[in-house]
Amino acid sequence: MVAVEQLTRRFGPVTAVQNLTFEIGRGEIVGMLGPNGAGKTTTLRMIAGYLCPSAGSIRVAGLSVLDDPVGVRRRIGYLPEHAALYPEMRVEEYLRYRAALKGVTSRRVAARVAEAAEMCGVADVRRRIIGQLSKGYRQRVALADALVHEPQLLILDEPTLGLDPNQIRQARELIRTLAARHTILLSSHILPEVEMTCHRVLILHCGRLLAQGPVETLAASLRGRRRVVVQLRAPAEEACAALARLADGAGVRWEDAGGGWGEARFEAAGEGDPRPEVAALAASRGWALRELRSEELSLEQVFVALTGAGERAP
Amino acid sequence: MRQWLVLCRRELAAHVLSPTTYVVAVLFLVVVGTGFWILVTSMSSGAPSSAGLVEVSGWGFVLTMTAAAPLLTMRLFAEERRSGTLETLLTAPVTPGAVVGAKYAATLALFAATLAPTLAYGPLLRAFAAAPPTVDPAAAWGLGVGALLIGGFFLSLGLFASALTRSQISAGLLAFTFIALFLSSGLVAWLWPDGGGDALATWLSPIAHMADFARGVFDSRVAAFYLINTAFVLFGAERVVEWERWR
Repeated sequence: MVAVEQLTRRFGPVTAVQNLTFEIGRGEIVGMLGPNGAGKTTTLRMIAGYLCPSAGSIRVAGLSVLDDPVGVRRRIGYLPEHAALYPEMRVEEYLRYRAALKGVTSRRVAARVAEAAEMCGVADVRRRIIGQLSKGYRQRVALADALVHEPQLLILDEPTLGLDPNQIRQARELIRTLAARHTILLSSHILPEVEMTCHRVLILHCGRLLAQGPVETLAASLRGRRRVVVQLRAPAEEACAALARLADGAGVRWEDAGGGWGEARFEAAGEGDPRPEVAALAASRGWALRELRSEELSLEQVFVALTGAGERAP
Repeated sequence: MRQWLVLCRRELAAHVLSPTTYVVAVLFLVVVGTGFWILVTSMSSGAPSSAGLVEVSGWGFVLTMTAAAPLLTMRLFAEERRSGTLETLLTAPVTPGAVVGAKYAATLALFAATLAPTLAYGPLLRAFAAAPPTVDPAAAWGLGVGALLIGGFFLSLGLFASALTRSQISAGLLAFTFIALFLSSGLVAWLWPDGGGDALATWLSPIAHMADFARGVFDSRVAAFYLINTAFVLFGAERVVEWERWR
């Protein structure tokens, strides 16, 4: 559905996006992740045809964004980062205007507007003036605008920006529902959101693509260092010394958990799962064991590991 | 074409909802109405000729337009750029040319509509004058065509200025500067008194053009001058909007 090749965008001396190459298949929900300034919005704007690339090519549904910009835009529904709407228009009037502008035939405009408004939860405010709506409603009107012409590809830049937790949950469900009919490319810096919504993730940092793939695959690729957490009733030094044989170079961190219990955390030395050995060790030494678990790397940890954000944080 | 009409309708609606439109309409009617009243008073007191007064009216119209064109056009692109709706507009399946054309056509239509009440002057005169004056139809037509040609050119300069910036105030001031520069082209006669400056000034002066139109003199070269310049400036505006993608 989307094929991006060697995409580069410069703003004067600053290179915002550099040699980006990726593909998105039909029906996929792909999340674009990255810290602020990673080049997410610039990339989405280029795919949506708002910015032209300095180098490289973008094809959407087989059409080149440079050669047939209008044809590409007809197939795209774009929700910009800051939902910009005409404040003096009424919701329904705005959606009808946008539908007609995007080539929805006169006979279908009313039905499409009603459906999009219903899907995005703005049907109850369709007679209201946009300027008087809350930020959350305006965001949803912009989303209804993005999908009013039934585009093949939906590009959503920070789709849950400005929504309350309830609305975020609804938006997530809506995005999953939309995946049945549209290919979706969304950007976010809220990691759990991407983790819950997307099939696949692209991680951008300083304009470059650091990693791409399903969330589990990305986590697995970094899982060389599986983290184990164990709670024991044991003498701290003795336990640390015994566990250190199973841990990698970073050693074992021990914290007092109260009541004679202590919690040890360490990164496993080998590829395998060290938990059976930990359990056997506790049994052989006669230490009471109340918790033993392996911590899966969350997307956030993958993200921090890849972008090195943790090291640079003040 | 349908999309162009959709854009046009939306621009017209935005004009109708904007308070600036009404300020401009009132300004126009006051200035043009005052000119009409002076003309009628002077003629009824037995003035031999209206030629001087027509020239003054031409001045009045051009000066009013100098203020009105920036007011009508400053919002067109600057506001879209400031509020971010330009991004929404340019990611819809429309070309920058269609956007520029639709905004211009809507503004020109609105400008023509603000001039429309002056059509009542003829019937008013016939209804209330003791001896209805004979009106030269060529002069009446000339006034209308001249107002649209000169006004249309000024509006295109305003639209171009608006495409250059994200601030309405800057757009307005820039448009005013462009129009003032064009008006001051009449000064070449003063700067270059012996070498044909006079002829050039007459050829460029919108006030002289308006006075000619008001006398019923229709010079197709003048019409071509305004039409070509308007098209050229609109093309420039389209390039500026397209350049937005390459910035």
